[in-house]
Amino acid sequence: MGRGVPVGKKHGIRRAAAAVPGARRVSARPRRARFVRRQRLFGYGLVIPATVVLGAVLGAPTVDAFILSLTNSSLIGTGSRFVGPDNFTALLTSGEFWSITKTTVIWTAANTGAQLLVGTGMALLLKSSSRVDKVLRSIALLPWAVPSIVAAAVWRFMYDPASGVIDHLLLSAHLIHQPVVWLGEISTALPAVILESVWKGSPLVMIIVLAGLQTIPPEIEEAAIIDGAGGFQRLVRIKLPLIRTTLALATILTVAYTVNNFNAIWLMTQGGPLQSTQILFTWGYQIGFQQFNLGQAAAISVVLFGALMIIAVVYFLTLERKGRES
Amino acid sequence: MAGISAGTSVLARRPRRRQRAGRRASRYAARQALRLLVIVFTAGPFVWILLASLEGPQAIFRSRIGLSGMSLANYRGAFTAIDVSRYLLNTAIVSVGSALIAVGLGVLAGYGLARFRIIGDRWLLLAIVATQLFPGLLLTIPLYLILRDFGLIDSLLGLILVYTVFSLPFAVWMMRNYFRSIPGELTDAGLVDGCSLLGVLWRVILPISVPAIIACSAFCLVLAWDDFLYASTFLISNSHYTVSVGLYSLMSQYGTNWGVLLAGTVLATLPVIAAFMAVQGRLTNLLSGGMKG
Repeated sequence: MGRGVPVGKKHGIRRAAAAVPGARRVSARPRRARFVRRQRLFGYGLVIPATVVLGAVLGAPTVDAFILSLTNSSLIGTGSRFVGPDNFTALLTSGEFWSITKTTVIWTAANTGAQLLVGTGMALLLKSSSRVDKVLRSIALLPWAVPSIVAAAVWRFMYDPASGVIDHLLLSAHLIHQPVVWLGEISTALPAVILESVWKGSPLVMIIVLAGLQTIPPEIEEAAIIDGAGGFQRLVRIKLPLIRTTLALATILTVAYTVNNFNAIWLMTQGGPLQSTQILFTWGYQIGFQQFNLGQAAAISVVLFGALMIIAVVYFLTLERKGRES
Repeated sequence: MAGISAGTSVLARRPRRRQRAGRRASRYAARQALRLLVIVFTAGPFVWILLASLEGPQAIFRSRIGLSGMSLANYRGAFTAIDVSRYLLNTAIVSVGSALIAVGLGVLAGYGLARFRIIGDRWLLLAIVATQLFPGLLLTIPLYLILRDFGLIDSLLGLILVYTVFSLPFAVWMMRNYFRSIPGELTDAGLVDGCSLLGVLWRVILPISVPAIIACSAFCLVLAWDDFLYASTFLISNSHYTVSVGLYSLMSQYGTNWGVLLAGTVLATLPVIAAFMAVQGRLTNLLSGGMKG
């Protein structure tokens, strides 16, 4: 709550209803009741369209996915039969599921760690309100703003063994003797895709951290300087602890975005080579839309949903706590 | 930083001053070097593909990219070999269409949530926050089936609907936070002056909210412009492709034609940069406002 308005305490019209007609309380009571009722209806009228759209196109599919996960539906053909938890037992007993879950965890942890580090670093380096820093911040935000296809094309071009600048530079520096197929080898593909998504994701962390840094009153830093705290001490002992809720939010958001980052992997490697960059999302997509096994794919998505909803609850609780703190 | 350090030196004891000045200078240099590194890391790849897109195929292949043989041949190829203008038009249709609907509904709902007592509004907000973390896979499969039932597969209209739903939660959240920052007295004044409830929104609130609405629209535009997953799943015919799917079809072929692909990439980036310029600093503020809740 940047402005210190506590959650759930509203002002504005509700207060107007109390204040304005209240000035003529004795004579205007029936009119006031009518006004309040009309106002309440008006409020619902404003909110209902969005709620209906969200419910119809977001709520219904969610329910649908849960039902699908209990059937053997196929994308082709019509026969769909209720199979109970079969899809889930098949999933949990397959070695492939666990190895892909492992890749998903590595992918998420590496991305989150690196993006937080790089994003926070960027925020600290470009945080001043000078005109130069404003321009630099806009430039630094570009990777986040461009479409995923652009990011993928840029990096695939740079990773390309024949035309790519990375192999070219390493070859001319004699660090390697023949071009490395970065996205085609099991050992390098995952780190290469992680680098791309760190490049694309860090600017968002930068924005969030910058917003957090802005909330630190300058007096605190001045006091620390007078007390003789050095730059590093001020960072570790004062700034980072003060924005820890912001950092927690950034972490949770990054985790969710990374688990959901289908585009980065699909556009770079489609999960290959030999599943080395396969995450649950891309795997489920392949099972659903390339092997047409919708029931199994829905089961994978329900498992992902469970994991992400746990994160969502943590996220909301953090927001709440932050609201209370300020 | 420099100003702060100058303040420190006044407090410092004299003999140590020179030593400190030296350390400060090297720290300053390190900081500037890191700033340069950040810019090279984030913007360098863009400069690189811009230069490469202006080169002939031979130079691209040998990674000899400079300012020598500039030509627009690749861009000509992007408009002739693939129909990049059609892709861009389709993308513009779906992103503008979905942004208009999402911002329209988002303004109404955001205003309602910010100013009126709604039973269950906290649950609605929780749901809205939760949608930010929804697994896309969970929705892709049922959405495909729903769109198929309504005959909206391979249709731009279906895609508009899908994008609206994905940007709507953010639009509601963003506009609600913005409306809460407008003093309530403004609404009261409008009511006293005889505006209807809708009149207050239309005549008092909306005119002063234009910058926020523009920023919110820009965000919705970028969201739709970014998508690849839904467009590639729900579109079938080449003439309906958005720019993401169109460019991807170039990539997946064996032996990528880098020249045309890079030219198309640059063309797909330009509208985003334009939208970005339009909102500049404001986007940062609104986004952080959105995050701050």
